[in-house]
Amino acid sequence: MSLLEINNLNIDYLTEEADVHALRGITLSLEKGDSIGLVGETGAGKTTTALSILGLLPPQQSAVRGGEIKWRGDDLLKKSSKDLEAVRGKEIAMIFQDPMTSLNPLIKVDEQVAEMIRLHDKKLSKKDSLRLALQQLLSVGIQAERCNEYPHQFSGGMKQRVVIAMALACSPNLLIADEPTTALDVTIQSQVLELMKTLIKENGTTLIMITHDLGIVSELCETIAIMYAGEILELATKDQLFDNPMHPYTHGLLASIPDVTVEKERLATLPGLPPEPTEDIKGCSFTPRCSRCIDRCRNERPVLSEEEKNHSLACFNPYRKS
Amino acid sequence: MSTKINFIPFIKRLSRSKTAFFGLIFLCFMLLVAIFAGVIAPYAFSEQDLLNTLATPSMEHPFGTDEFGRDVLSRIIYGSRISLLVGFISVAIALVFGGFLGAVAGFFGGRTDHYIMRVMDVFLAIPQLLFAISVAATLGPGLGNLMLAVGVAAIPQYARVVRAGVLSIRSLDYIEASTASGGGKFYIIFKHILPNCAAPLIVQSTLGVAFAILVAAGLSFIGLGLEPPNPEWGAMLSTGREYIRDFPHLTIFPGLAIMLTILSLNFLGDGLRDVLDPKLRR
Amino acid sequence: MLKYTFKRILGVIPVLMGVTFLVFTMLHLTPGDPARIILGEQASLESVQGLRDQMGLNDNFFLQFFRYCGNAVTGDLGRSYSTNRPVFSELLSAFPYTLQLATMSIAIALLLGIPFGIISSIRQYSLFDNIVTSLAMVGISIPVFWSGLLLILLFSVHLRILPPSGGSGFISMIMPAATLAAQSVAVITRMTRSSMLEIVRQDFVRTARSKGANERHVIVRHALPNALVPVITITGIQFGRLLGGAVLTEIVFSIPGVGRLLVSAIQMRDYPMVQGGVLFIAVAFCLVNLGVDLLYAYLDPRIKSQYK
Repeated sequence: MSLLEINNLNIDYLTEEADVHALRGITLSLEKGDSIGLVGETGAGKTTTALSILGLLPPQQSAVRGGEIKWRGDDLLKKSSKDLEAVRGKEIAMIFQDPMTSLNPLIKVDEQVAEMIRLHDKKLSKKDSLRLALQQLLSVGIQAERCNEYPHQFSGGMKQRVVIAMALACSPNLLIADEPTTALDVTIQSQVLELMKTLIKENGTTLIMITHDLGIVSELCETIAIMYAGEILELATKDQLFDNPMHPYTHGLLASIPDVTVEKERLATLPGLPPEPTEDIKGCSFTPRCSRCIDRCRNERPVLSEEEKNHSLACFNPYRKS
Repeated sequence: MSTKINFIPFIKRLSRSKTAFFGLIFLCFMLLVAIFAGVIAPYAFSEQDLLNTLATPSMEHPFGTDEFGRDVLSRIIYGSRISLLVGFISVAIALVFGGFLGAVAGFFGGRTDHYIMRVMDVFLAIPQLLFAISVAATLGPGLGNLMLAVGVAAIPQYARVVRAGVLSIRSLDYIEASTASGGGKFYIIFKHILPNCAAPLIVQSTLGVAFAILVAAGLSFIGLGLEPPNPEWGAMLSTGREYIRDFPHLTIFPGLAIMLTILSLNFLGDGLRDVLDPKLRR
Repeated sequence: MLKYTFKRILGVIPVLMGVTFLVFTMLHLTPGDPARIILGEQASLESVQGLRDQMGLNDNFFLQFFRYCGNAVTGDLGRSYSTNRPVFSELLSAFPYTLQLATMSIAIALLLGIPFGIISSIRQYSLFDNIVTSLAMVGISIPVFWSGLLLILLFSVHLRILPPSGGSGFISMIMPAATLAAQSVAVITRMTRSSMLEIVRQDFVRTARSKGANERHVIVRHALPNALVPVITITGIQFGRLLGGAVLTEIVFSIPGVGRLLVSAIQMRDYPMVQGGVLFIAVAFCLVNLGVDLLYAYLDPRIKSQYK
């Protein structure tokens, strides 16, 4: 039994005008100790995937249109809110994108970490939980004397360290990190990534990393899923993906990464824009931008299937190493 | 912040809120009543029927008559002219002076801003109703003085709204561009900045008219507004108070007129805020 | 924090000077000679002139103004023309009524407004929310001098369970307080609701949910304290408004408070009383606002740290 298994998940956001198809049939499975990176442009459905796992989608503005999210065999979508609360934080924890806004401004940071611990261990006294929180904060490199300060007294990088300490406080089995470094300065980015890398290795935490930066993914993740318009187009190990990108979209993405060793006139770009998220797409969603599209792509939807060992693909006419 | 408001979709969005739509319809109704008061009202507002004083509502006098036998319905109909006029004119006064002060303060900044806003602080330290009462007492009774009193008391609020609006867009590129291309300061204020404060000002003004009507009625209620026999709603209530024990219709109907007019303006203002304020737009 | 408090108190002084100057000027512009008012129409020109000299009314305007300010600092606001008692002591004896009225009203407003606002925001667009938001709008729109009269009509004339006038104990203040509170209930409900709706969308609330906190904990521990910060400000503004704006309510219910004192002073052209009354209310208003700002700084660590 996989740790996490997402099957054909479809999620719509409801607006007054039309339903926005955020996820169009995501299928993904994770074993313990895996580390997977979800990579894609804004609007590809990365964050929606993460929020749906935790059941944190806004209830009135979103609807699950089918599929299941199995956590250790139980469908999270069918769980009661009470059962979900026991999973959140304790078994699956999440780090959000913007550390500036993801901490409560009126509560001291150690108490925010301690709250996480207490929520999942009701018998623990406040004092003991604060002591554990202090240890946790020390482990992410925050000085002891700063632990009872308020979030606004911390820099962005420090705040993200607090968020990481909080997320890992209950030693979760799965950690979802949603662009944890996007809001930070480049130098701080690498420090935070290094910290995450160490902590994940130490605890053997399973990781889902969300980013649009292939560089960050390659540092932390073994597997990469390329997402586009609410679908996964290509899923492969890091090495296979970089050595042998098969989907035309992945190809384009890799070609657009600047390579300082090669002198080029200008960077390769992908022409066109992603499809309207409200559109119902019959064939492959990448067709309008695809240079290798064939007739079949317009009428039939390619399904993610294993092309080689550990390399799945949703494409009728992929690139192949000749 | 966009200045252009397309009328048709605007009305459509506005009428999505039932309450705002009610506000708009009722306000239009009141405006028509005020304009055509002479045609609609069954009697003249000062026509006395001394044989029929303090009559309870009947077919002849749907809202009854007052202590001089004047038809209450007709007086309320004519009273709408006064209330709406005071409401709109006083807000216009506040808007012109407050808007100008706020625009100057926000645009020039520095010392100018400091001094203008300190003066506004002084005005704001006196509760608005009390300030209006003081001004009304200084100026004496009369329609013009009433408008002035209510309007002057509201100046600081508009100054604040406009100043905030100016500050938020003063540093934007197209203002810089206009300055660079040699636009005079006042030209820029009127041509570029004020139109961009339109949205919050429209909302504030709608709610302001409601509040102005309330304050004006309050002033008349304590005898500082219009003198008799003008059919002012607040003054009618003041009379009604004396007869409340036996003739409550003198209290109920004028009060209802005040409340419904203010309510419709407030509903409309709230609806406008939802439509015009992009931050709150869903 | 202490430095901040001190700075804020110093900041109030010029505002009060400004208020005094404003009222002083306005009364100066009002037609009518105070000496004539005191002595009556029959008094001779000489005796009026004599009194004017005695009162310092022939002095330079600014001299009069600074003399007034100087006296005001020592608590001397002059004597009422109509009762000949010191203005300050008249105000002090009227103030408890206004204070009681305002305090009761703000208590009602908080007790009703905050829970209504919270429930309304949690159940946004539900029937309850629609009813509450519509009623809140009615509360803002209803003139106190009408709702007060309607309450008198119902509870005093028909049901005969409450006295029609206030100012004689707690029971007599129930109706006036309820009348005056209507608008504040509405304002606080709306503020709580919109503040909650805004806070609930914030990232840290999502963080709290992701920690596995239940909905109740998320609301009570995370959303509410943050949402109440602006509610405190608006409560302060409301309280100030109630202290100064209770005029109409005091008149409807014949409560001998500061507002009613002031209006009758205006009607009797009792200038020192008017001047003192407006100044008194402005001081109360400023002090309440000052208190709110300090409380705000105390409660919100972000502001607090700016003034350490």
